[in-house]
Amino acid sequence: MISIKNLHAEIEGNKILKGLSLDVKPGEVHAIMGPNGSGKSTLGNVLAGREEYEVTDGSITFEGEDLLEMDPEERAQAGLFLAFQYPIEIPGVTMNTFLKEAVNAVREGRGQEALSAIEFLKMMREKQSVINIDESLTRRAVNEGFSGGEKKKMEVFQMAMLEPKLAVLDETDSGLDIDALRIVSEGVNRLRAENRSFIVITHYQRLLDLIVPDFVHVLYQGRLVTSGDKNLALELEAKGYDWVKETFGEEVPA
Amino acid sequence: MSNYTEAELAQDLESSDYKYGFYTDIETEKAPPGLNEGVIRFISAKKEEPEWMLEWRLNAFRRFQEMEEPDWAHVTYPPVDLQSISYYAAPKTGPKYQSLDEVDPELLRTFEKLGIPIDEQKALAGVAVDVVMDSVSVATTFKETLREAGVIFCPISEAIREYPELVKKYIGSVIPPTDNYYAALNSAVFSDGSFCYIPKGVRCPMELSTYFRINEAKTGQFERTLIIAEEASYVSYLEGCTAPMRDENQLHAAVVEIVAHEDAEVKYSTVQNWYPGDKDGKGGIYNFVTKRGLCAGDRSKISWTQVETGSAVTWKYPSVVLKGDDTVGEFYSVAVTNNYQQADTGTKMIHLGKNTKSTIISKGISAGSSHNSYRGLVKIGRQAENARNFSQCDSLLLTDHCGAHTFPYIEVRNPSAVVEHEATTSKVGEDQIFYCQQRGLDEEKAIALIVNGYCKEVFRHLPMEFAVEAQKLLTISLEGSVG
Amino acid sequence: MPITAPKRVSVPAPPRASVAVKPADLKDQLVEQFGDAQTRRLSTDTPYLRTIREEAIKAFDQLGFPTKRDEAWRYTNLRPILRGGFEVAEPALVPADIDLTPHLIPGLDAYLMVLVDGVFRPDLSDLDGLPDEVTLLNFTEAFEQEPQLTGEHFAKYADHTERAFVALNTAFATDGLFLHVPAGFKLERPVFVLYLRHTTDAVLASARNLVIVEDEAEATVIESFRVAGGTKSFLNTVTEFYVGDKGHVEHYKIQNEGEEASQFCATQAFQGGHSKFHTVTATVGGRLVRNELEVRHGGEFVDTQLHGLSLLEGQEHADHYTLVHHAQPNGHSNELYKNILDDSSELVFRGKLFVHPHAQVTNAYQSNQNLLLNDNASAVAQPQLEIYADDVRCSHGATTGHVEDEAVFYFRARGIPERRARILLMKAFLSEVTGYLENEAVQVYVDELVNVRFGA
Repeated sequence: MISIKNLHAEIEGNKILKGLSLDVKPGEVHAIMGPNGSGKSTLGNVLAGREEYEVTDGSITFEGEDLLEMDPEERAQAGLFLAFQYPIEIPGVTMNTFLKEAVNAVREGRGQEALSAIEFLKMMREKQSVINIDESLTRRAVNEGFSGGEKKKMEVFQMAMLEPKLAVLDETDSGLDIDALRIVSEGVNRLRAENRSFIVITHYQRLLDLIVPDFVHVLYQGRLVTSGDKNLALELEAKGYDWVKETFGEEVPA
Repeated sequence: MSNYTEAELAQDLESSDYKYGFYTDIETEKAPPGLNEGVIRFISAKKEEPEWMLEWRLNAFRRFQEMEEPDWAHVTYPPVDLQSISYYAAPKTGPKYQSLDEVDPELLRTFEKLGIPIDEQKALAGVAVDVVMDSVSVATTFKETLREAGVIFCPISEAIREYPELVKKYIGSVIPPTDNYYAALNSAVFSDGSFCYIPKGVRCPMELSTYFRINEAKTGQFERTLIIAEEASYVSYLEGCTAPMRDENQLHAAVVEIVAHEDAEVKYSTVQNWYPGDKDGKGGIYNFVTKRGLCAGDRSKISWTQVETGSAVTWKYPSVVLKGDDTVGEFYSVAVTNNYQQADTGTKMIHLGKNTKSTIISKGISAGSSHNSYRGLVKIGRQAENARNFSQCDSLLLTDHCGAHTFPYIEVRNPSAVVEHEATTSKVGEDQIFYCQQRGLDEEKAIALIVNGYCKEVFRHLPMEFAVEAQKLLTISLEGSVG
Repeated sequence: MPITAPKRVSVPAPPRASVAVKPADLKDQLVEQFGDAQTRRLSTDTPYLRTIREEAIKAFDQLGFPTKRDEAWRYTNLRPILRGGFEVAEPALVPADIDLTPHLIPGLDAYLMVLVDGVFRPDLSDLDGLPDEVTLLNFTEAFEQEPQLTGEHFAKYADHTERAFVALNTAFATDGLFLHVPAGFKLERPVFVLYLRHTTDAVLASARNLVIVEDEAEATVIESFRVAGGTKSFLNTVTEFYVGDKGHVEHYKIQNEGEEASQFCATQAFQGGHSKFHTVTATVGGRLVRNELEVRHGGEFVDTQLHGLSLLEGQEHADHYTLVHHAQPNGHSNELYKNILDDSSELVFRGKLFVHPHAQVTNAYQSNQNLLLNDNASAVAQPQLEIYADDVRCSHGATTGHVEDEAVFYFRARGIPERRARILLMKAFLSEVTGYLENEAVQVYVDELVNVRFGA
């Protein structure tokens, strides 16, 4: 699905990722955990193609293609989805308009016919059975005045609509209470499929109780310092990030 | 609940006295009234100036004669008769002092009344003071300490004699003599002021301060200040001013120029408390001042903070030209007008370099029959990539017969700029007053508290000592307001 | 209501200037031509109108054309426009045959008044079905037929003694809309005034409108400016609105004359107590467009809504000058102008809120937002507050920037191409203003103009 090799990235001259490598196969769920400042959000942004982040070394191959060569919209059309940690508010554009534009752009990128208004509405209804959102939200401007929980739910709903091959959840659990967390997780779990992979970036283990990963990696100082199965997350929860700092504290040569 | 409102406050404001309105009886030497080449030659000769300085003045005077008094400001006042003003007045007791002991005791008492401790106590406060009375700099403290650090802080008349190359290079470089009517007048007749030079890499060890006072009747004050901050230097500069109560209007037309080189930072703070005239609008200072800083080098920063409570008419726009890349300009202002005072004040932020940033915070408070206007220009040049400006201009009205006006000009010629301007005008919230009353404060205190809170954003940019003085000034204006 | 076409008088056109004309000389020429115009209009103008015209030309003679030294014209340079000079327009001998189809607003059901180069064209207009209560006349004939109304309202709101172009308009305009809606009457169908430029000559075309909506009456007036031929003319239109107590006027102005044509357009409204005046200006083209919009509150509890959008490209220059006089207590005004500037276009926005003494409990808001798309585009904003009453809540905001990169990225991360993302964001930016167009046909029409401009 995706193969990240020796990824180095920086923003405004600050080196954040220093040799990160990761392979994700179809259907796998990988969790990436790490303390603040370890480079978690940078990874999500680099994958989605945010221009402020400069990739200085390494490679990313997505479905056999060089991801780093692709524009953000090409990546989305190729099936990469980023659920933002802080979804931006866009006044004046309704969620309906936005989603219809997005769905049709992605379909066009995949060589499919654009959906008619009726087909689109039908699809909206279907996807609402996957993740239940308040329909009135789709008539409002994108994320404008949404609560934290509504924004995150809407990110997962967008994921359902765009049917990506690889979804990257960037701290989707941040700012959510336990009920919202459950709803969002259930939505994600319903979207798990044989040919769909996930990279779940999180600070806390609690999300991984709800979205059970196949692999857990610890990101520290811009590299994955250790990997394991879901038990690694529990171990991390028990020992805390200080354990990571003590164990991997010294800058590991790349 | 008593029915105290702004109307009562306004009435009370009228009765509050100007506590700096005394006159010091010192023998002075004064030029006869009138404006002509002869007077300019007289001033220049008195100051023992070199020929080039006299030429510079005369040149400015010739240009001045071709200029017209500006009329675009939102102020009205009878025309100033420039021929009736004396352009030079100096305390007679010899202009040079070796130590404070030699200073006329009457003068020292004046400073005491002004609350300027030019004695050793000042050492504790860590402030070096230059005092300019009428036209002459009478005392500069802590010269030695400053000299050790390489800082030059002296009257500009002295600098013209001692450091002619520096003065020649920088005077008029930020504000050319032809910049405007009053700047031209100042260039022709300026008598004294402060000169300040911070060498490369030096962080000025203490705050520098100038106190200006107009003492004599029928004189004008035309001081000129020049501050040069070399590469990676820092200075914080304070300016205060007072004048005696007089029925006539006196003219104050100063020029302040600042040059900041690479990585230098200059902070300039003013508490302006010139005599504002009485409650019927009689007397008071016409304060027509040109202040401008040039961020010449990359990453330099100039910050203006002003608290304007005095003067009958104020016309003043401390500005920053952001020429270097990554430079920063700031303007923080509180302007209070009462009775028949008129203030037209604000700033200009001229963005020329890349990644330049400016912030404007202006708080206007109008009482009595006064008029208080904010006038500002934010200009983003074609080459000013990624320029940022944020402006917030708030006005508070205390009576129904005063005026509060906002006249911003925003010119953007680069698409990468982000410029934001916000302004609000309102009166003191009755619910706020009530809330304070409910917590046991009387109305007067409540309003003082609210107005002080309203100005906090600006006060916090003043050096501690000045912030306290500014708060006191505001509170004095609101004193005795409930009968 | 009977409507007669203006008299057509044959006057040979004087030779046109081949060298640059100085504004002062052009002024003198126009003042000179006033005498001929007065003679020509002997049979159509009432003595009252003639007197006001005399006042106006005298004022114009004294004022001259505004220059950049005038504070109100600081950022708009008229010289390039005046350089070619222009003559006072005279009716064509044979009215041009013009196909209206491309200039109409599809789906708009309205009374149509067509002015070609400032001259009323009954043959192209369609005023059928006007209710008997309502009076709709051509400007000049209104003075004869409605002396009382014209005497009471004409030139009472737009100042022809202080504003040069209003003076010029008052001196020369012969045609335009006169509309009177009596008290309590709600005119359901809008009145649509279509201004077409046809002549290829450099003429000064003027049009003058007077709309009187009495107490508790309602009307909608739509103005649209189009080019159906040459663009060398200068169009000078002035519209006065009187809105009686509890009256309600909706006013939409669409300026879409391409990159060549220039115009001055003043809208002046006087509002009685509890009345509503809502106006939307859409400027999607023009070499130099100067709009002056002034509203005065003549009673309490007045509601004023001023909205505008500009979408400029090439060398276009638009100058929106607005002024709201809060002269009575408890007034409310809300102003929103949004502008998008591409290429080397220039935009000037000046909005003044003037709160008079005793206009207590005034609530006034003003916002101006500009997007610059290009290195050479520029925007100037002068949001002004002049306030003489204390119990007020007034605010203004002005922002100038570019399409937010964060928002564009969010779109792209969902697969929407960058260009499309920018268009959607710009349309969203403008939609807040077009949302105020309550007539659906007009809204669709303006949205379509925006789409065409974005090539979407």
